[in-house]
Amino acid sequence: MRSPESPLPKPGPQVFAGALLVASGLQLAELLLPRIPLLPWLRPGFSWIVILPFLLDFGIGPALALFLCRNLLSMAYGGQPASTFLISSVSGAVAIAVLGEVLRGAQRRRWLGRAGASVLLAGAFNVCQLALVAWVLVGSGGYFGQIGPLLVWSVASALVVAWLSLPLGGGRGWEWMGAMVSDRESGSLPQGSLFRGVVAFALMAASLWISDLRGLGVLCVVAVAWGRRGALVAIARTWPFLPYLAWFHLRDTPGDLVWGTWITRQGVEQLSEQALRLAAFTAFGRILAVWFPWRRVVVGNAYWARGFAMVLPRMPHLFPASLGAARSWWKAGRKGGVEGFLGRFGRELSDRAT
Amino acid sequence: MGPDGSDRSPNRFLRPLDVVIVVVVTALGIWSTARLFGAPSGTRAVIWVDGRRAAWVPLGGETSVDSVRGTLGAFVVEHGHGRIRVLRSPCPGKICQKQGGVHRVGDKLVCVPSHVVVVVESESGTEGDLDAVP
Amino acid sequence: MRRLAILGALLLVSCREVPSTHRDWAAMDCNFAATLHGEGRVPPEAALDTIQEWTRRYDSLFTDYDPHGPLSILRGRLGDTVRPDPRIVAILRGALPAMAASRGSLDIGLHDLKEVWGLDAPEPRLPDPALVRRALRRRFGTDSVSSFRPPLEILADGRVVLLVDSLPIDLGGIAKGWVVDQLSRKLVELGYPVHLIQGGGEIATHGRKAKGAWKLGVKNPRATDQVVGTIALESTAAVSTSGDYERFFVLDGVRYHHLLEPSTGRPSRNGIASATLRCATSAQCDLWSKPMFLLGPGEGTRLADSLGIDVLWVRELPGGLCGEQTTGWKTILWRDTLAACPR
Repeated sequence: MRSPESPLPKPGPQVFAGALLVASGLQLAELLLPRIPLLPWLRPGFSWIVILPFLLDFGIGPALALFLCRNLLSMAYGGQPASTFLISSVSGAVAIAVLGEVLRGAQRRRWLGRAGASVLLAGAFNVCQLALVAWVLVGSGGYFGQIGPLLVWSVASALVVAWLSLPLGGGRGWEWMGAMVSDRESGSLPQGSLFRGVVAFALMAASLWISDLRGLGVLCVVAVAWGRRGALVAIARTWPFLPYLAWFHLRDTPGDLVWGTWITRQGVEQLSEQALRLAAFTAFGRILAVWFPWRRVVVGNAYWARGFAMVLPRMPHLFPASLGAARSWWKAGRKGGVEGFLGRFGRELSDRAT
Repeated sequence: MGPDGSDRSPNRFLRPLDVVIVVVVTALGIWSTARLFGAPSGTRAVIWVDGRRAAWVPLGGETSVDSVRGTLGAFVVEHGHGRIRVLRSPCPGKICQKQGGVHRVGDKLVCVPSHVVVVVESESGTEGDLDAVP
Repeated sequence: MRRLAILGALLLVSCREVPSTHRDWAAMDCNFAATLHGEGRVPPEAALDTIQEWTRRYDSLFTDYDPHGPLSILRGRLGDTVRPDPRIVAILRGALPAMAASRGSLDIGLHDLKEVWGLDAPEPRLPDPALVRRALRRRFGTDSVSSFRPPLEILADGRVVLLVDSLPIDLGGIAKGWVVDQLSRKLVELGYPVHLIQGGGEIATHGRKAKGAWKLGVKNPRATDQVVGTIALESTAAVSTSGDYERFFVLDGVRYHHLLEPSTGRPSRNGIASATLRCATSAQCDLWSKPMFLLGPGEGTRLADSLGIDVLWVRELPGGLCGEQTTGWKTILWRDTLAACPR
């Protein structure tokens, strides 16, 4: 066990992939939770259970990469609109960049525990989002009336997150997170051309921004034509997300009713848009995982690129894997606590990824 | 709760400074919330779309419905009897709809995907000097 | 990565106080005022000197009080073709279509009619109806006017053909807006993109203030030291007001104001106390403020929509004042205390 004082090296691609998978999974699961009346924009922020210790151990750069990749995935798989994504990304990036070194230094010197670090980070992140909404949407200050409940909530949710994050960090927990992502796919990746990799990435990102149904349809066709069977299989595997998206978009979207008393045309349009977006994103993600020119990437450390590409084919298995793990964990009498559950989750994920 | 069980574990949950931080931030939050409740009730609400004023609606009188065009489509508010709430919003999360009615000066209903913000104001606000009178 | 901590400066928005310079002066028979924000290519006082000098020159160009001034060239024999100053022609080019579209509510040939009403006289009294009829006949050829007749025609090369005999042309109601637009353009050239210019009832704002929108008040027509509303203009726009409180006298409980209806030769009596317009340019505002006042919300709303301008009418009812507005007016309204007029 290395001593807590010596700095950790940059995370390897597997560790990054494992952390990203768990963080994204927590983010998506959180979207299923019901909202608090009167303050429906507040969320527990469970993915920080992974991101906070990641920041404390590996530093600002890796944490930024993890956070932004998580946002990208929740935009594609969780159906988040682009504006929410932008505001959250900028706020999180600022909070991590500004507080990162401060929190790491304070922790190294034993001044700060996990609770304080979590509260400060959550407070900064939420205040940033509030400021951005005020500046971008309203165009003037004086929006900070909401800051009261926001701060109180930040403290409460941050404390919960801090407690749940204790098994991670200080050098612990990352190995078995990396073990969740089996080595099989990463070792034998062929070398693609940089040009194709860039095109695939651009098209994958474009699928997140285009909202025109025809445009998304075209992207899907291009993706399937390029990726052929592999792309089709990847799309088929994302079926668990369909009921999730349907639940998200069909219920109470206002508009003209087309079926019964709750499904509207606008709701169906939104669902179609999100389903097509997900299909295009998944298919291009699969292509990217195969075509990404690992040895040619000259962007400093490519651990985040490889890690991200490793996560893409595993994202469709998130829901089934977690459900399977929860079932077997419950049946085993919750053996091993949280770590026990996460271990089962990792095994389910590896089994399905083959 | 570190591997060696000692106090020097980096994964310590609470240290003295943490308690200070938690207390200070919570106090700040409670104080701001109290100020929020101290604000008077507003008489009208201004609807901003994309950073520009799109309309304003009175809060008093009988309940009536108005709609503005946000970036995702029609955004409908219901106002009257001193309150205003979002009746229908075209965004996927419907966060603004779930917020319910607001009535205090400074209260806001925000729909980020639609770029719409509804702000409650009062008639008697000190908004500074006029630049000119035509 | 400590240098990333400088990103914290992103959160600190420095609010620098932007200096502004203001000046009031008299020209063209009214009060001019200008407020410049910031510092331009020349010092603000020098910029204000420049536009003050310009208003003095425009005064002598457009005045209808000088029988030998540049405007007097338009007073001639029926059928004469004359070549006036190009700036006068520019204003006429804008005025003629507006005169036609407003079906004669706007008319630049009412100089004699206004003199008959003598609102500037020390002891105003009702004019002799015969004098009113004579003034109308000289303008329109008849004293019962039923349709619009242009007083002149502009040729492509800038020459003007006079269509009425010996008619003094009066640009007093429309020149100020055009002048304000010219001054605004000049200020932008001098490096002052953020400014406000007021010429009489014409106001032009340009650019975006550092601290929010331009706030303009709408005068209460019956208590001119108060406002009945405030409008907020985000950046470049023009506002103008025509009201029955600007020049008037009251006789036997009836208010006689300066906004004369060309068809009757008398001040309008449609119950409208003032009309405030928001337009794209000050010239457009000046052209349309009197017609909007005379036409009222009924016809005025349609015209306003087709022109892309917004109007607020303040009406006087026995019980007090009420307001009627075009649908777009709501977008600039900041605060108002006017009740809506009953239908």
